[in-house]
Order: sequence, then C-alpha cells, then structure tokens
Amino acid sequence: MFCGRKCCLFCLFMSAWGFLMLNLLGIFFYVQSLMLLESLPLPHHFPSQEAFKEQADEAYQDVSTRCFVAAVFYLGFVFIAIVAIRRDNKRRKRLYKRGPGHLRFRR
Amino acid sequence: MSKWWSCGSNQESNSIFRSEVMSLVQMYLQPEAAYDTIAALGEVGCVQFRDLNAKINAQQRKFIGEVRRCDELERRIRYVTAELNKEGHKVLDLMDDFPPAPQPREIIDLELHLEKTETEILELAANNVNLQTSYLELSEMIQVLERTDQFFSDQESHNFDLNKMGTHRDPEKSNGHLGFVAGVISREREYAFERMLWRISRGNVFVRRCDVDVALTDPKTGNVLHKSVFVVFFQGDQLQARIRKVCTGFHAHMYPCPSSHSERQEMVKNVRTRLEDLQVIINQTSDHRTCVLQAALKQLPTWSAMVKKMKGIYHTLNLFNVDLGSKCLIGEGWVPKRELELVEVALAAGSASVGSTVPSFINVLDTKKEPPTHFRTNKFTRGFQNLIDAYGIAGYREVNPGLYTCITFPFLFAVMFGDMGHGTILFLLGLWMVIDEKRLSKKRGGEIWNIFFAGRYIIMLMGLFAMYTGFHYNDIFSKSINVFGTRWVNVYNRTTVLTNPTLQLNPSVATRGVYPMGIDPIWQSASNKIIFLNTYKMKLSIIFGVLHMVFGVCMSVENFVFFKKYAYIILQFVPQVLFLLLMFGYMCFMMFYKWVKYSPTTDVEADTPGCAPSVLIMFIDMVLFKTETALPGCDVNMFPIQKNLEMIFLVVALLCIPWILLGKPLYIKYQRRNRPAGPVEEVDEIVEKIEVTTGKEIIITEVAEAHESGGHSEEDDEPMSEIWIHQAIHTIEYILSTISHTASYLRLWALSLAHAQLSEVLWTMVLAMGLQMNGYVGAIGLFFIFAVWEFFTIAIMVMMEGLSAFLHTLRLHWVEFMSKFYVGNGYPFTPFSFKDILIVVEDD
Repeated sequence: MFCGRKCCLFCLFMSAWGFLMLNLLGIFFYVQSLMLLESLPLPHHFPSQEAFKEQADEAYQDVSTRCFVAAVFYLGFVFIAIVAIRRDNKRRKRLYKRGPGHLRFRR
Repeated sequence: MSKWWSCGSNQESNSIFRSEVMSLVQMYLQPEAAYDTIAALGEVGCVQFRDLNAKINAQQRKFIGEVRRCDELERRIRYVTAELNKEGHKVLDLMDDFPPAPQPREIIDLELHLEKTETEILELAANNVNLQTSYLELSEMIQVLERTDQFFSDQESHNFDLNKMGTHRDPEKSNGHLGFVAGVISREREYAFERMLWRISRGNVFVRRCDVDVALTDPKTGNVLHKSVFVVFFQGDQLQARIRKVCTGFHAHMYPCPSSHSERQEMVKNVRTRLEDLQVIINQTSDHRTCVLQAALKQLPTWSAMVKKMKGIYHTLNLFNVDLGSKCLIGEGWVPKRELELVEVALAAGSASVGSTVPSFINVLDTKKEPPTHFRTNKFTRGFQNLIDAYGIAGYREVNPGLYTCITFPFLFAVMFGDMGHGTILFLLGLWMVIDEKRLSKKRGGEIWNIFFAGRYIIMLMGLFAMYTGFHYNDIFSKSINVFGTRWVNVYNRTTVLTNPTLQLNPSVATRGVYPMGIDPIWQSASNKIIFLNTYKMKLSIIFGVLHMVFGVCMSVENFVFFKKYAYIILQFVPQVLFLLLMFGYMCFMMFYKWVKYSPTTDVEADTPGCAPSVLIMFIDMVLFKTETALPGCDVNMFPIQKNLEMIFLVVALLCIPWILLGKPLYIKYQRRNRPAGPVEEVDEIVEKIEVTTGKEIIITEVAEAHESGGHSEEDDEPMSEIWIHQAIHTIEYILSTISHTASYLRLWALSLAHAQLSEVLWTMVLAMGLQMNGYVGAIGLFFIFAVWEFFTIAIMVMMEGLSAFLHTLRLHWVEFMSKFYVGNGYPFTPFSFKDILIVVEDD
C-alpha cells in the first residue's frame, strides 16, 4: 500500500472535512451570503449599481460552482481512503486468522 | 502521580475536594507468612511503607541476598531480551493480566530455566562465531583461487610448472624462478601494504590485486567487510621470509594456491563442498538458536513480571524491623483510612495461604507525622489532578484546586481559543480518544502520545468549551453566521449609499433590538470591529480574572475552617477579600454600570455614549485623587456620590494592608502569652506492650521526629521575628500580586485577539486566493489551496495556538489562582503496588 493506516485515516479526516466545508461554502455562495462578499473576485470600483449587482451575481454563481466541483474531488478522495482502510482491515484479519504458528520469524 | 489503578479505584467514588484521611498502621507479620502477606498487599496497592531501617545501609539488610538473586535473574532476562531483539523479535512487556507473585520455591525452577536458556544461547553464540570464522576463511580462499586465474595467465610465459605449490609452505630452492604468495587483505590497508612491500624488496617484487566483490561478514560484530585479493611475485628465499612477515604485520591472510589451473579447479571444488557443508551446519545452528529463543519469547514477559514482583516484595521486607527474639517482622506504613479493612483482608489472606495459625495483625497508631497526600481520582479527574500536582502536591487535607479546575481550566482556555471551527476539531480529537480509549490504552505510542492520551478528557472539554465561546464570539474560521438575524438595518437612501465609500450607523436609529446571544454578525463588516472587540474582551478578561481571584481567596476560608484556625478568617481572609473587592471589584462594577447607564437612546445628554468616561482613567483618578475635566454637556461622575464612595473604598482598602500585616503576628503573640506557664513538651512517644505467643513482652518506644515539614504546627515552634518577617513578605506579595495578577488576566483578551486575527489572515491570504481563481482551472486550484488551508489550520491554529492557550491557562491557574490560597507543600502517596512496578512507559 502506498500509504499507511494512519495516513489513510488522516486523509479520510481531511477529505471529509474538505467535502463538508466546501459544500457548505458552495451553499453559502449560492444563496449569496454577504459575509463572503469580500472573498469574491471583484474589482473595487463599478460604473453603476446595476453593473455591480450583475457582476456580483455572476461571481457568486461561479465560485459556488467551483466549490461544489472541488467538493466532488474531495469526495473521491474520501472513497479512496475508505477503500484503503477496508483493504487494510481485511489484510489484518487474514494475518490474525493464521494464528502465531504460521508466522515466519526473520533470521 | 495518580494512576487509573490507584488505591481504592474500584470502590465507590469520592470527592477530590480534599485528600484522603490517612492512618499510620503498625504491622506484625509472622516470618513464614511475611512473603505472601506483602505479595497480597502489593496486589492491593494501598500501603506506603516507611523505612524503619533508614540507618542501615543496603548491604546489611536482611533480605539483600534475595534482592541480589532477583537482580541476577533480571540480568539474564535482559540478556535474552537483547538476543531476541537481534533476531528481530520485540519483547513486549505485559500491560495487563499479570501473573501472581511467585512462591520462593518457584523461583528455583525459574532460575534453572533462565540459566539453561542463557547458557545455551551463550554456547550457540560462541559456536556461531567459530562457524562464521571458518566460513569466512573458506570464502576468502574461494576468492583467492578464483581471482588469481587472471594473474597466472599473465605469467604463462614464465616457467611455473617447476614450482607446483605456493612458496608460503615447503619452499623449494630453485634459482631463477619466481615464487608467489597469495591471500586476502583489508581494502583500507592495501596501499600501505603494497608500498611496504616495495620498500623492503627495493622494488624487486611484483604485486597484483583485485577487489573482492561479494560481501563478507565479520563473525563477531556482523559488520560487512571490504577486502582485496592480492598476489605477490618475488625471487629468492630471503625475500620470501620478509614478505611473509609483512603479510602477518598487515593482518593479511595467506592461503595456499596452486600455480596450475587444473589443480586450482580441483581445490575450488573441494572448498566449495566444504563451504556447502559448513552452510548446512550454520543453518542448523541458527535454526536451533531460533527455537531456543522462540521458546523463551513466549515466557519472557511473564518471567519478567514475576521477577519484578518478587524483587519488590523483598525490597519492601527490607523496610521492616526484624525482631529476632519474638520471631516477627514489624513494619509501619500509611494506609487510607477507608482501606484499612482491605489491608486486614490481605493480611488474613497472606496468613491463610501458608496455613499459619498465628495471625498477622495491624495497629493504628496516633502520630503527629505529616501523612502523604492521596486523591482518589478516576479517569476523568486524573488529567486535571496531574496539572495541579505538576505545580505542587497539596498538603495533607488541604483544599484541592483540582476539583474546580475541571471546569475553570477548559473555560479559560476557551475564552482565549474561542472559535467554533477550531473548537470542533479539538473536540473531535478528544472525543475519538475518549470513545476508543479501551483500545488506545493498550497502545504503545511513546511518551508524547501518553501525555496526550492521559489528557484526553481535558482536550475534549477544551474543544467543547471553545465551541461554546466561539458561538458567543460568533466566530467560525474567522467568519460569522447570522443565526438570529442581525439587529441592524440600513437607514440610508440609495443616493447616500452610492456616493459614500463608508457610512456610519447610528445605534439610536439603526438598531431594532438586541442580538439574542453573542456578537451581532454585522461587526464582520464594520471597520471598527477590532476596536469594539478589544474593549469587549478586555472587560471580559478583567471580570473573569477578578471572579477567579475572589474565588481563590474564598477557598482559603475552607482551609481555615477545616484546620480550626477561625481567627485567620478575620485576620487574613476578610482584609484580603476586602482589598480585592474594593479596588478591582469596584472596577468591574464600573464596567457593568457603564454598559447599563450610557445609551444612544437616552434623553439626558450626559448619558449619551460620547460622555461615557474611560473606566481605566477613572480608576487611576480614584487612586491619584485627580478629577478630569468633563466635556461640554457631560458629567464627570457616573453617579452622584461617586467621589465620596471612591474615597471611602480607597481608605478602607489601604487600611486592609496593615490589617493583613499586623493581625496574624499580634494574634500569635497574644496566644503565646496566654498559654499555660512554660511550653508544654510534646513527646511523640508510644509505649505499647504486645504479648505474643511466646509470652515475651515487647516495649516499643518511638522518639518524636523533627517537625520540620509540619505545616499546620509550624507556627508553634517559629520564633516571633521570623513570623513577623514571613507575614511582611506575605502581605507585600499579596498586595502587589493583586495588582499584577489583575493585569495578567488581560492575556485572555490578548490571545483571543491574536487567535481571531490569525484565523482571519489565514482565510484572507490563503483560502480567499483559491476562491478568487477564475475558470475551470479555478476548481482544481481551489482543491489544492483548500488542502493547504486545512493543513495550516490544523498545524497553526489548532496545534500551535492550542498549545499556547493551554500554557497560558496553566499559568493563570498556577500563579494567579492558586497563589491566593494554595500551599502545596505535601508529598504524594506512593503505595507499594505491583502495577506501578510493572507498567513502565516506553521511551521510543
């Protein structure tokens, strides 16, 4: 396995956290939360209020979409981590079933 | 330190408000039952034995022979363990399910087993060295025979057939023909070797060498050797002798080497056969050694535990007095009062196990010696108690701050670390360690892991409380959430908003009530957010600090009442708490009154926010008797009688200083003057007559020990001059520390501000960069940058900031809180317990 058990658990935690938080961020951007206005890629000056509103709406939508896409990436890593942990569990069970008599001692 | 297997941990729980009531017991053990009795007491783990043979050195104690025997057994166990480690097997100490202490006769069998195993391993090791040496020699010979082929082919033009064998043996005198010596030398010596040969022969030798490619192993050390094959061609017998001496001097091994190809092939074949036979023998020896070690591997942890128990028992028996006349062992030890029955049961079990008809028994002695301090902790309170014990062990029956620390510690931590996001991470970490604690308690993770695991309940509570304060600060990863709906509204029209970059909201017209809990999320958008939060958190820090300190001073009343020093309530506690309340309690009152009195919606001009005075300036003016000039339309005072009240407070507070300084020494002086004429000699003497079955009477007289560490009776012996000096020091320390400790609590605000700003910088400088990427690449960029932000959040915000807040919380408890009442001059209760001996933390 390319990654140890502890590393898998760490990746699982980070990926689950990323998936959850990016989804929440996506939702907040979708509903156009004012708290996140400063995080949008917007210029500082606008010719008119309509222009500002239009660009802000577009930016909210774009960032929201990107958050959801990134969340999907993290979901993929969650599955990879779960699969790796399950395989590790199976491998440990096989070793356990053999019992100590089958273990080979290094010379 | 308290441990989870601590004395009495299986019984009903008890408060850790005070230490356990301890009894000094005297034990009379029958010699034949002594071993089993101490073994039973070791399992119970409730007796801390005193050393009754302190004046006898270790070599003269009764059971020194048995202790040395156990030492020898331990040495053998360590040797076998080291051999197992070489084989790659790690011998793991038992963590539970320990075997019982062995009977003395069982140790004889164990001794034989260990001696046999050790002897066998030693013999196998010696044989292995011999076999490996032979193997190495044969391997080198193979190399010599094979590598010299090319050397001899170069010399085919010479007539070697006349000289069949190498001239290192059976030299033949044949003038005009070249002789040769072949062998193996260490690679690092070959150049010096060649140079030396050149010199002694004045250039009349021909040296050829070639590296040995296969790895050779040193038989003793197991290290890899790097060697070279060499052949020296020379002429004459005299030169031959010199060359052989040089070879010996450079530790080069010379091997016979026929000059003809066919003979070399024959020799190679023979040596290979011998090598294969030798390899078979080596493998068989190795297998046998593995079998021996494998047999020992299963038993070794059990043997180790048994030997440690036995050694502990004999070491404890060495603390006993041996009465040769009446044939009994007399010992003394501290026992928690509630466990006396347990100890008696153990004594009865010890006697019954050997079928003794004479029972062992205990007497409870009255003594003025200072007992050890024992807290009956459980897995939850153990971590907090360890924090307190790291500062100082509580005196016997002194109030234990560990009880209140269970809540005040995570709370003060959370005031500094308040953030719902970071608190959740910390809480989940602690929760994982709590839920999975049965499995994790068997984990051998090293010292750092053990520290974290022992504090798992502290971590969980710190996370939980941080979530609570984070909700109040309305801070989750530096962002606010609008849970209840902001109470501020925009009162400007469209044109005003469009033409002004920044606008000010007047709270008298822009607010619609009060945000129900915590900070209104509108402050996230305000340019004066930091200014507002600073004033809020500074006041919060002082309020919590004063509360914490007042609570600490009040704890001293508990000690005064318990130790029956009621006069000190009037002489020490009252002036201390008065000083604290009149000065800094009044400051807190000013904070609350200012919050309530000044309002933007008031009709009185003097009560508008612009007229609100600074609490700090008012406090300074109170002490310095100054008066500020009021702004137009404002009032200098917050309430009408403020100046008079402050004057009274200040005068009374100043009067408290001589009150603390003079009260206690004068009281002691008065007490001593009114004592009965002449000091009463207190003799700690116990005269008891014990009748044993032999009919003899034992008279035991114990001379009182010095009361150097007796805290509660210290004043009875201290001269008046020292009492005056101590009280002066104490007074100065208290008055000054009240001022400096109040300022010290401002760290609650400082760390909270630092934490919030760091979190905001992390969001703005890291995560926002990912959010502002455009296009399809932006999603991938956001993926990676979010991972970086996650990593920094854990590494910096949770671990570094968490550790910082933890240490500051620890200091606020140790210095600011506990200095108000805590003496901490006790010593810990360390009972004779097998589990203490056997469970040792591994340092990886």
